[in-house]
Order: sequence, then C-alpha cells, then structure tokens
Amino acid sequence: MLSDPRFDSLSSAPARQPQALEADAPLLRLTGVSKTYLAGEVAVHALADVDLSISRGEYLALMGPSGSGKSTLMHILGCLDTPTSGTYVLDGQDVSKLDELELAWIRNQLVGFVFQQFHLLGRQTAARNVELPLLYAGVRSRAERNARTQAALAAVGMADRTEHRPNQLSGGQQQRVAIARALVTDPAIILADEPTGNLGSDQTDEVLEIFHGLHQQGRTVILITHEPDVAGRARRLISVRDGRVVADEPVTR
Amino acid sequence: MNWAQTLRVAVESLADRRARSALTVLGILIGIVAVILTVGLGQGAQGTISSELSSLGTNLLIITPGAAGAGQQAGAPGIVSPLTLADANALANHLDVPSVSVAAPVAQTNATLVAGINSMTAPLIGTTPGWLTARNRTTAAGQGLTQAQLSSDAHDIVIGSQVAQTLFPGTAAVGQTITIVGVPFTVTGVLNTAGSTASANQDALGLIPITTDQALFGATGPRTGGLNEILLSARSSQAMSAAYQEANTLLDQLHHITNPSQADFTIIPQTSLLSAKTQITRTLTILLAGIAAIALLVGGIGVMNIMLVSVTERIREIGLRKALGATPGTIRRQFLIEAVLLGLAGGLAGITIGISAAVVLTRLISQPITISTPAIIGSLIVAAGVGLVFGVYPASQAAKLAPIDALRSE
Repeated sequence: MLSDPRFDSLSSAPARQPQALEADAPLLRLTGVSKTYLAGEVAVHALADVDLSISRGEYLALMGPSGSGKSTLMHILGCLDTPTSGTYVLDGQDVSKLDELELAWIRNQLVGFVFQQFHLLGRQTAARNVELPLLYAGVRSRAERNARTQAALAAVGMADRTEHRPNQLSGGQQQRVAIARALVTDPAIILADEPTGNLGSDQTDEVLEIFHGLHQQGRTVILITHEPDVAGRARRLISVRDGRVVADEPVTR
Repeated sequence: MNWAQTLRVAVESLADRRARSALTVLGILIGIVAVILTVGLGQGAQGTISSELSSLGTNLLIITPGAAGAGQQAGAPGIVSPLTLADANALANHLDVPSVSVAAPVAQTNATLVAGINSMTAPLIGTTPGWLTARNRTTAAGQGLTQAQLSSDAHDIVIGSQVAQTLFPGTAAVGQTITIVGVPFTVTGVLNTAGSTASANQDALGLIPITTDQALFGATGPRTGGLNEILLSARSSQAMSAAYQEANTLLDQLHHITNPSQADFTIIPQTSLLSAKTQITRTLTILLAGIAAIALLVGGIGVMNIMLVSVTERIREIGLRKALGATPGTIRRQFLIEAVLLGLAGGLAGITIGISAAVVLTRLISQPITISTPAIIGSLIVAAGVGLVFGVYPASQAAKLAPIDALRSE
C-alpha cells in the first residue's frame, strides 16, 4: 500500500509499531485539547480542555448545536487543524510533533474524510475523483489504481456510474462517490462531517447503511451530525456544547 | 503524485479556464514576438555589415582628401583634390611602404554609358589593376585591367555585371563597344557579381585605366586632375596599423606637412567604418531588445496575476486536495507547472508568429531579419523561465494554505 518511497521511512518508524503490540490502546486520544481562534479582537474558544479517547473499531456520533465546536473537534481529529494547546496522539504518534509531510501522509492513509458538501471535483468523473488519493499516495501502477478505484466504487454501490460526472449524479450518489474516495486508501478511520446534511431521507438511509457496513468491517467511524436519528445509528454518542464534551454515553436502542 | 499526473492535472485546470489562459498566453506571446523580431533585425543588420566587410576587402585602407572630419569632398565644385596620381604611384612603391601590398587610385565620375539603344548612368572609375585586389573583386568574363592597358592609354573598359546585363542583354559583353561622352571603349572584362551594400551598388560601375581617364576627362572634369580616393590594401590584417603609419609618413613627406593637424588627407581603415556601423546597430538592437524584454516582463506579471487569482479561486479545491493527502510540495508543483505551461504556450505561439512576421516583414521593409536556432531555443527557455519565476510566488501561496482554512472558505 505504501508505494511512495517518501513514506517508507515513516511506515517503518518505531512510532508506528505499538499499534500491533497494544491492540487495545486507544486509536485516538485527546488530552486537554483547546482551540482558540482570533476573530478580530475577540478570542473565540472553539474547544476548551477536551479529553477524549476513541478505540479502534468504534462507531461514534458527535452531536451538538452549530457553533458548539464539533466541527473544530473533527478537524483536529482528522489532522486538518492543530490544537492551540493540549496533546493529540493518533495511532501512537503525537500529532503536534509531525511536519507537513507526515500530516499529509496521515490524511492520505489513516483518515478518510466525508464532507457535507461532498467536495467532489466537478469536472472529473466519479472514477477520477476516487482515484485522487491513490495518486497522492504515489500508487504508480495504473492497473492497481483502477482496480482499487473500481473496488471502492463497487463497495458503495456505484460500480455502474464510474464515468459519470458529479452533475450527472444525485446528491446521494455524489455522497457515495465521496465515501468511495474516503475508502480507497483503506484508512482505519472514517471522519464524516454532517454527511447526510444535504440529503433526503431515502438517501440518508442509503448512506448510513454504508457507514454501518464500514463499522462492521472494523473501521473506526466518527460521524458529526445534529440529527438525533442519524446519531442513533452509532454505538457511542458524544455531545459537545460551548467547546466542551458535556455527555459521553453508549447509544441505547 | 508523479510529474506526468501533475502535468495532466495542470493541463486540465488550464483547459477549464480556456479564455483566461489564452489571454495570459497572449501577454507572453507579444513579448516573445517582440524579442524575436528585434533580435532578428539586429542580427540581420550585422549580417549585412559583415557581408559588406568581406565584399569591400578586409585589409582595406581608404585615403580621402581633406582633414579628418573636415567634411571636404573631392569633386565638390572649385575644390582641387590634393591627392594625385603621383601620390598613388608613390604608395605603390613597396620600398617606401613595405606593409602595403596594393595601392590603387580612384578617380570617379558619374557617366552615361551607351551601347546601341541601351544606356545607363553609372560611376566610371579611373584606376589601376590593383583596384580589383584592393576591392577583393574577380572577373566573370574577359580579364580585369592590365598594366599594358595602363601604359597605352587604351580605350578599354571593365564593367560590373549589372552594366553588362543592362547594355548587352542576352549577349556576351566582352568585345562589344560602349560609348562614353562620344568616345568609344571596348569591353575587355565583366566583374563577378558582388551585390549591393548599404553604401553603393557594387555591380553598377565601369573601370577604365587611370591614364585614359586623366587624358580624356582629367583636364576638363570637375576633379581637374585630383583623385577622389586612394585604396590601399595591407599585406595582412595584422599589417593594417603598420601600413597606416607608412602611408601617413610618406604622404606627409610628399605633401610637405610638418604639423600632423594640418594634414590635407585622411586615412580610414575600412574596418573602423564598419565597426562603427556595427556598434550603432548593436546599440540600437540592445535598446529595442530592452523594450521587448519589458513587454515580456509585463507578460510575466500577467502570468503571476492570473495564477494568484487562480489560487484564490481554487482555495477549496486546494483544501480538498490537502485533505486527501496532497503535500505542500505537490500543490506547489501543480501551480508551478501551470505557470510554466502558460509561459511555454506563449513561447511556442510567439515563435510561430515571430517567424511568420519575420518572413513577411523581410519582404515589406527589404531589411533582412535573421531568425537563428539559438534565438528560438533561447526564447522558449526564457518564456518557460518567465512562467517559472512568476509562478513561484502564487505556487508557494497555494502550498502554504492550511487545509482547514482552504476548506472552510465559502
């Protein structure tokens, strides 16, 4: 999987070994994480002293009103953003000590992102969109890229729409292509930011079905939502308000 | 992502913004065309000068009447040229001037040459056989002036190729008769074609023995016996300055000149005239090329401008690419390649249009424009370099974007 020579040193680094040795250690652990933005003169505390551990294979929903800091939390979990203070250990590595190249590797290999607005490249076919992370991973063999792209699209039920462009697809189909793109590098963690926020209820069900399947495969799925129905499909529910975790409970059904 | 894939992404995103890319390319194109044409014009002019140099004879020194810069013209009404045939003969004596191989007097008048119904007006030059050596000329038919013709005041004439064509179209000129002011001359030779230089048409002239010239026209002509100039040929290009010194000393003696500032003659090496010309052309070319370079610079700023707009416009795309694992290096490379492609496209289009314009302009202004391969390769490299240089800043701006800021921007 790691065909880019730049990443060879990373994958063989000692820091990556503990995951095999301590399988029960948390995959992600936030300790005293805060995030402060400066909005003009005013400091906005998006996150305040958050402690959170997430284990391998969990299916977790993050809930909270808008402005509660749940998106910031997800961006930090996905290494798109860095905490102002506190430590974040992902898969045995302290993220704050990583450089841009290593963060890019994590975003490519360890985390798959799904966004509310899909964020597909509008002029590219579904297959080309899904292939993109493999290009950044440095997978040189076209045959391998094609095979993995097709497999990812098939996994979300889009095998018959690979040459369609986003504007030829429904919202639900676009989101499924986006999920295929998140899956194509076989990441351990799927981070989805309001993935059903722009979808109707039928399409929501389809997409949630896919996330359920990913969880069944053993992937760690973290879902941000403000819809209780959607959150109810997860196994663990974390509520965020004013930048703090106010509740952390298993989902009862 | 390897270079080929990055290149593909760059091409696609340029194609997505076709009109804007084309306009940016236009800026570079104009700059490159301007550079190609000005450099080509300069090289063409220098080519003309060096061919003139070789056609005039490389080791040539010209002695003209009058002090340097005095502007005194031989043949001007009422002014007797101080240069005489005796001067020329003295200079032809190798004992006094060992570095001079040939000295040829030039007594020149414009005359009408008539042969049957054909006639043309051309410079008629009274001179000696040395003229051909000094001017680096050969004959195509017959022979050049001979010592025998000189001693016998023969009414013989050697003509340039254009005179031969005009007076004797379709027939051999040698042996025919040309009448000048009622005096018949026999054509004994035709010169090889030398072409036109900026200063004179080298093929429209007639050569007669200087003795004949003096006898027929010397007493009554405007020169009243004086010479227009004396041509000297140095033994080699190294001997030029020695020849200059020797000739100067000899003429000072002959003209009884003790103070060099009162010399009544000037010796000009042919090369110094041409090098002055070359200098002027070079200066002009540099000036024009400088203006063209400014045009190219403006084109480059256009590339930078459009790339910066592109970065701002595609801020979400950049964020997404980073979220999917693009490194800053990959993003930088993508934008750099786009900028270089814009430059290269401008360069290629500019070269195409530049060459076409050179061909058309050469016909319109009858001034040669030289398009050399190094100039073409050079402009292509410059065009790509302009894209590269002006792409660095936008590309690093794109690479620096934090993925979250890029994704969040709406």
